[in-house]
This record gives sequence, structure tokens and C-alpha cells, in this order.
Amino acid sequence: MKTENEGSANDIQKEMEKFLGIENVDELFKDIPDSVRLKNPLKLLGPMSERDLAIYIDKILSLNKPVVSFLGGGAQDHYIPAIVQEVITKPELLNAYTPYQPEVAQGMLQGMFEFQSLISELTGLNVTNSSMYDWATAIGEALLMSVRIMKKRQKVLISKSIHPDRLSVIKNYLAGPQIEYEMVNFDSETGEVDLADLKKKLTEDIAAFYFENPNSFGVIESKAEAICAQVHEVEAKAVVGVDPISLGIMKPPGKYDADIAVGEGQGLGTPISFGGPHFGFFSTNYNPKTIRQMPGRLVGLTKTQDGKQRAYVLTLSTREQHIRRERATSNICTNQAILAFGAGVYLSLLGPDGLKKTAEYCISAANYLASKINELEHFDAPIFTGAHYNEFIVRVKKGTMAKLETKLIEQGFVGGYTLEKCHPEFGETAIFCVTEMHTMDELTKLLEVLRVYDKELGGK
Amino acid sequence: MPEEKTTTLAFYREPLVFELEETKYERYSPPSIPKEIMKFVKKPLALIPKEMQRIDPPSLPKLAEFQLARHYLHLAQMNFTVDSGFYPLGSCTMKYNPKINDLISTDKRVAMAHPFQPARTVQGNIRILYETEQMLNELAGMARTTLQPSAGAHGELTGIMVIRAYHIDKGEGETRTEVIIPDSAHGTNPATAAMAGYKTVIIKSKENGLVDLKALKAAVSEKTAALMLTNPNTLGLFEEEILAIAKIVHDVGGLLYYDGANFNAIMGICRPGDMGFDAIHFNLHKTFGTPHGGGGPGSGPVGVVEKLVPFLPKPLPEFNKKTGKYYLNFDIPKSIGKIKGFWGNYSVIVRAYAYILALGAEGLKRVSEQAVLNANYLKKKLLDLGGWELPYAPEIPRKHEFVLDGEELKKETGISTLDVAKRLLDLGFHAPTIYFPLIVHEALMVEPTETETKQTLDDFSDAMKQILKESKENPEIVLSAPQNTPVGRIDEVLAAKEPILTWRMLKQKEEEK
Repeated sequence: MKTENEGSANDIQKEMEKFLGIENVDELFKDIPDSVRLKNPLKLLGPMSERDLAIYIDKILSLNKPVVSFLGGGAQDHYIPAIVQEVITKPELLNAYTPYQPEVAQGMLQGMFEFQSLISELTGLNVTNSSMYDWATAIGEALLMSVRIMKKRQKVLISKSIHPDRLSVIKNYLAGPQIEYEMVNFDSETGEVDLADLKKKLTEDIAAFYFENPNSFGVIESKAEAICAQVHEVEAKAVVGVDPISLGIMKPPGKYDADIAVGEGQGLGTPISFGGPHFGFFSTNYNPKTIRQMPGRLVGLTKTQDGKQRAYVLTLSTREQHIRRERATSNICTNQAILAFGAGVYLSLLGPDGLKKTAEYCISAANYLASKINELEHFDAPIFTGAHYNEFIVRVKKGTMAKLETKLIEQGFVGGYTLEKCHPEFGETAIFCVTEMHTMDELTKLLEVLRVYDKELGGK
Repeated sequence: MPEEKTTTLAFYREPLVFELEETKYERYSPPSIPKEIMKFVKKPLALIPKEMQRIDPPSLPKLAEFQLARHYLHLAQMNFTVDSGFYPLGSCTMKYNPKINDLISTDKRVAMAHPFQPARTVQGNIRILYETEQMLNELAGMARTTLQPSAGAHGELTGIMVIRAYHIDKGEGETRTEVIIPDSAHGTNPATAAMAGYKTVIIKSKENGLVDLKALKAAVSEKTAALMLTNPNTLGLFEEEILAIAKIVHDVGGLLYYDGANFNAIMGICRPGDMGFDAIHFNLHKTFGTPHGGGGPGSGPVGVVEKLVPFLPKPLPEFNKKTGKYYLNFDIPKSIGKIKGFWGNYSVIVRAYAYILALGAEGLKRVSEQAVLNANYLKKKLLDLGGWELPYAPEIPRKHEFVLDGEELKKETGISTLDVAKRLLDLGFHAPTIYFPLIVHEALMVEPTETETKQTLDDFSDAMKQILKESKENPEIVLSAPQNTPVGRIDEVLAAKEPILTWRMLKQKEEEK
């Protein structure tokens, strides 16, 4: 038996069909030829009531094992202040589309303008776009922008200390336009860019050099200024990948003359979420010519037409796909807006002192842990002599990283990320990451697991 | 009932976060460095080589949480959202996003898991990737689907790169240099083809808005790498000759790419795989009830037919029947590699997974049916008002969206589609997409979606009726719209001519003056 409500809903449906002069909604699909119509229903699970859905997914998620992670490599566990989470789940922001009608999207637009401004304060470069998909794709876009600016130069250099996954993404971005690339070695002692090798490879056909600071070994590039100067000697562009939290205490790329700074913004209030969504940021200095080559959306501050009020709007759109089509600077359309917005909240909340304190925690705890691990007989940490920020490579001299991993998981830890595939020449190594999330208690317990393993290997 | 619909937004003149008053009271504090560590490092800054230390702290705001709570609430209240009203933005599928999906995505086991964790600690997460892929394969009729791409355009790039790898593998990488695209296509299609290194060949639509088979035949050759198509197309029309189109492209060795932006029209009705498409991207943030976040993040999985599977990005989620374990398979020798960091926008994927499970096959079919019914209902309502034309094959039912032309209205009254859009904002609606597709001059592209009541469609129609009347009797009110929004019409020319893109640039400009 139908309830009264269902009856009324059915009447409405009928009324709509009648208005269209059809018997049945299926008539609206009559132009789809039978030859391509589905003959049988799709084979899918469901439907489920909301309760059943919640129970079903909870059951699946309970297959995960809760762990304390010391993994980094482009996604780091940082504390997300409550207000950041609260703001990015506000339905007014979360359930809006790209601000195509700016008069009813001033909130989103202002927040994005603030995000652009805040990141620019970190990087020391006065223009930042309103986000890229992630760090890796931001590098790809930065190299393509450099090539567009340098016109005839069709080759780029990339520091060898980059994470192989990011390199793989870059390769895909360079493949279409057939941009060549060559790797620049790192110094096997310090882990920093090998300046002599860079100099040798910096020829007149190079459009850009990409390096990271700190690099994927956690090593701080102490000679970043010399690197950029060398790159500029052949009038190429210096592109640097940076950790935004580290910029609370580390020299901003603008101060060592980098032309473009990119990086992973996830640490600024975005959950790791098993790898995404995260967001990439992209900064450069304003130049009326080169800004036309920039990828991604830009929010600008302007006025209302009557000149009375401030207003925000997507601007310089003639670079973008919906206007320029095949001549666009990039095909990017949807970006990572709400996460970038959240990063604006994060940076506004922490302020210069909070950011400094967080960065100091990261660098201190990481260096403490590395040196304690290094005291163990069968471990080296870090394996490079350069200064380290909050990641470092651990080498086990006798046992294996796989065995250590199992022991760590047994005790509720994961990390580090094993380098056996990308850097077998380092021996049995893994990279560990430490952030302000790690308490003294957790560091002590982790050390204990390593100490026990060291003993098993014959250490004191 | 109020007589006239009105805006749902608040009006503030909200200063920039940099302009709020500094406070010392109860500012947020990160954790302090443990004493034992402090004793060890002594001076944290000394861990950084002198030449790399930051001397001037970044000029970030110094505010307390209570100030920020107010600031961001004000910003939010100035923002139109699908939760507050009708958002018929054509090609964007602004449907309601069920709250349970958001709730699940914030579960710690989703939000806190690290992508590099060993598979044995994230069996649940890999299983969700695996099952989501299975569901998308079934929905599109594809062999395998990569969940890695971040958005629709990113999916397009992935799909075209996979197609490119396939041609290269066959030894035809050098010869196949062109991608064919209809003139009604989304702007991302030609931009994607160009980014992947292809020359774009644009073909004109027929009088009925569909692909012109003659033009297509003339365009294809041994140079054709692919045809990019969305079906139904951006006019909301289904390409009924799709099998013939596929044959023409396949006969010269080209492949068919399906732009999934319009997938909401066909779920459970027909599948790109059965239409002859070789690759498709989904927009999870359009079709599968995941929020668009004011511009992102989205998620753009790419499904492909069997022969393209070897080239998909790695890793792919797999299930080992013997061990009963899920794992990520990196051993894909011909893979194009990675297209972004890690495995995909997981917390978006989880939402889509929940969306599909909640609805099931029947529910998803109902989604498409209701979306199409709503679109055709509203289309007729608006046409009945007069003033608007329905260009291209008016007798054929539209699918999930329709495009009206305001050319006549403009001639008659001087009111453009832009003016109508702005006036709609005054009346409490989000405007439809305007001036797209490019083949309709004064285009108004309306996509109501399935999650709207007839009452809302009627209200929108009434608002359009009122605007038509105003256009004739009191055009000034339309020309000067919006008046009833947080800001009036914006000087976009000034924004582009004298760009102020950051607070720093604003300060520089103020100092110059």
C-alpha cells in the first residue's frame, strides 16, 4: 500500500510527464539506439540504507591496522587544528562550484586570494596561483612554463635527489611537448646538488633546473644561492621544490633568487587520506609578460563597476583552457580549491610564531632521532653529512629493512619508506620522517624497537 | 511564502585576514619541543646552515581563533552553495552531495592512513580502491580503470597519454599526430590534446548539433590518434550515430575517447564501452555526489578497454584470491608511469564508493532518469515563456542538460544572456553556465540535476518569466543586476589590466600611489 506521501510524489512525476506529453520517462531516451542500450541491469552492490552503508564501510575499514607512522616522502602527518577542519567542511564552501559567478562567490574568492597571499609570504615570490593538483604535477607545470618562457630551449635539468614517483609524473608532463631532460648528480658525501656536475650540464639549450630544498633525502641544500646563480648564468630558470612548513625557519626561495617555487601543501591542514587529495602550490614573481605563461587559476582583487567596493574575481583567464582552448597554458580546470582555502586558515591561525615553532619541532625531533639511531652499532643515520630538515635516511648494515619493517609493525609502527628500489646503491636503507605529531613517548618506543633489533644483530 | 525569491547570502565588507587587528590573547600554540630533545639540540635554528636560515619571519597574520572563526563564517555566508539553492550550472552537475559520504571520508582510517604504508596495514583502503574500480568498470563497460587522476581534465590528459603510449607501442607514435574534436567540445579537450603533444583538428557540428559524419570522414586519416567526444554532447543531445562514428575512427586505426563530464545522463541506460569508446574519464565530483569544494578537489578516474590496459598508470589495486589479500600492483612494464603523486584522491573516491553503494544499480538508473526528466521539464517550461530559442534539433529530447539561445531576446531588448544570469543571482538562484558551448552565441546552458523538486524548477521558471517581463518593461533593473548580492557587478577589465594577485602586490600598489 502506498503512503500518502508516495502518492503525491507519483502524482508530481505523472504531472511532469504529462506536461511533456509522454507516458513514461523512458520516452526521453528514445533517440538512444537499441544497439547501444543496456539489455540487463548493471551488476552493482547496493542499494543500502544509510545505516547499512555505515556498517558495511566500517567493517571494511576495520581491516586497516592502526599504526604510528614515520613515513614521509611527499605526504607528512601534521596536526590539523580544529578550526581548519571546521572551515573546510562548511557547506557554503564545500558544496560550491568554481566561482564562475563572482558576485555570489566572494567568500571563496577572498579566501583563495588570501591563500595566494599567504603562500607568497612564505615563498618570498609575490604571485601564487590558487593551487595545482599536487606537488608532482606542479613541478611538471613549472618546467613547462619555463620552456614556454625560454621559447627555443627544449631541455631541462632535474636534480637526481628527487623522489622517483615525482620524476615519473614529470616525465609524463614533458613527454607530450617532447621536452628532453637530464639528471644532475648529488654529492655522494653531503647528499646536496653536485655543483660541478650542474655547471657541466648547464648549457645554452637548458630552459630550467629543478631541485628540492630540503631534497627527498631530507638534506638541506645549503648552496641554494650558488645553484640559482649558476642557473642564471646561462639565463635559465631556477625552479625549486620546498616544504611550506620549513619556510617558517628556512630562507624563502625568493631570497635565493629562485624563479619559481612549488611544493606540497598537504602539511598545511590537509589530511594525508592515503595519498590524496593533497594540493600543490606554485609561486613566481610578477612580470607582465611571463605571468601570461603561468598555469592555473588566479584570483585578483579589483573593484565593483561603480568603483565603490572591493571585489574578487578569477582573472587573467585568457591563459586558460575555457577561453584559449588548444593554446591554453595548461588544461587544468578543477584544482584543489577547498584544501588551499584550508591552508589559508592554517597559516592565519599559526602565524609566524606558530609556524616557526612547528618547523623547529620537526627539525629538532628528526635530528634527535637520527642521532640516537646512529648510536646503534648496526645503524647509520643519516647516511649523508649535509644538514637535515625532518626526513633522513637510515641504513641497517647487517640485517634487512624488510625484517625491521615487520618488527615495527608488530609494535604498532610503520616507517620508514624503503629505498631498495630507487636507490639500491645505498644498501639496506629507508627514509624516516618526524613531525610535531610525534611525542617523546613514541620516539622512545620506536628507538626501543630498533635497539632490540640491533641486539639481535649482535650489537651491544 | 515570500512574493519574490531573494538572495540567501549575507552582506559583509570583510577585511583581508592581513587587515584584522593583531591580538596576543589566546593565540593557537603548536606543541613544545620535549625537554629531552631540547637538551640535545640546544638551538633548533643552529641545525640549519647559516646561509639557509630565515632572517625575517614571514608576514603572516597574528590572530586568535575566535577572530578567524568569525572571519571565515562571514566569508562562507557570502558564498552561494547547492545546499542553499538551485545551482543549474550546465556541464557541472551540481547535485546534492549526501552528508554520509563526507562523514565517512573524515573517518580516521581514511584520513590518517599514509599512502606508503605496507599493504598489510591498509587492507581496508586498498579493498575500497579495488571495489570502486570494479564498480566503475561495470558502469562504463571498460576492462580496467585507474583511480589516479585528480580531476576531469587530468583524467583527459591521462587517457590521451595512455592512447599515445598505445600508438607508440604499435610503432605508430610518429605518424599519429592528430586528435579530432567537435566544435561543441569542452575547452579542456583541445587543451588536453595540445598538452599531450597533438595537433587538434576541429570538426563542425551538423545542423542538428551532432557530429557530421561527412566532416569526420574527411578529417580522419592514418594521422588520427583519437577522437574526443562527450555523449550526450554539450547541447544535451545524444550522438545517435555513435556506432558509425566509432567505426570511422577505428577503421583508420584511431581510438575513441569519452569525456565523462556528462555521464549523469546515461547511468544504467547505456555504456561508453558498448558505444565503441576505448577510454573514458569519470568526474566523481560531478556524477557521484562528491563535493566540488568551490573549485576542487575532484577525482577523474580513467577506464579503458583491454588493449589499453597495459599502458595505464601504476599502481593498480589487485586482489590475490589465494592469500585473500589486497595489494597495489606496480609491476606493469608498459605503464605510462605516474600521473600524480600516490594512488588517487582517496577521500573523494571513498565518497563516490559510498554514493554508488547507497544507490545500487537501480538507484543510479533513477538518477539519470530523474536528471533527464527534470531537464526536459524545465526546458519546456522556459521555452513556453517565449523569448528563448532552442537551437539544434528542437524536436529531440535533451538528456541531462539543455542550451537555450538568447540572441532574439538580445536583439529585441538589448538584454544579453550575461544580464539575465546576473539578474538570476538577485532572485536567489545560481546562474546557469553562460556563453558555452561556443556554437551558440548567447548560450544559457541549464543542468538542473536529479536532486531538485518540481517546485524549485517552477520557481526558477517564474524567475525567468519575471526577467523576461523586466527586460521588456524595465530593462534597467536587469542591466544593473545584481543589486541584491554581497557585491554588484565586478570590474573584470580592471582586474586583468592592473592585476593585484596577492596582499603583497596590493601593498606595493598602494605604496606607488
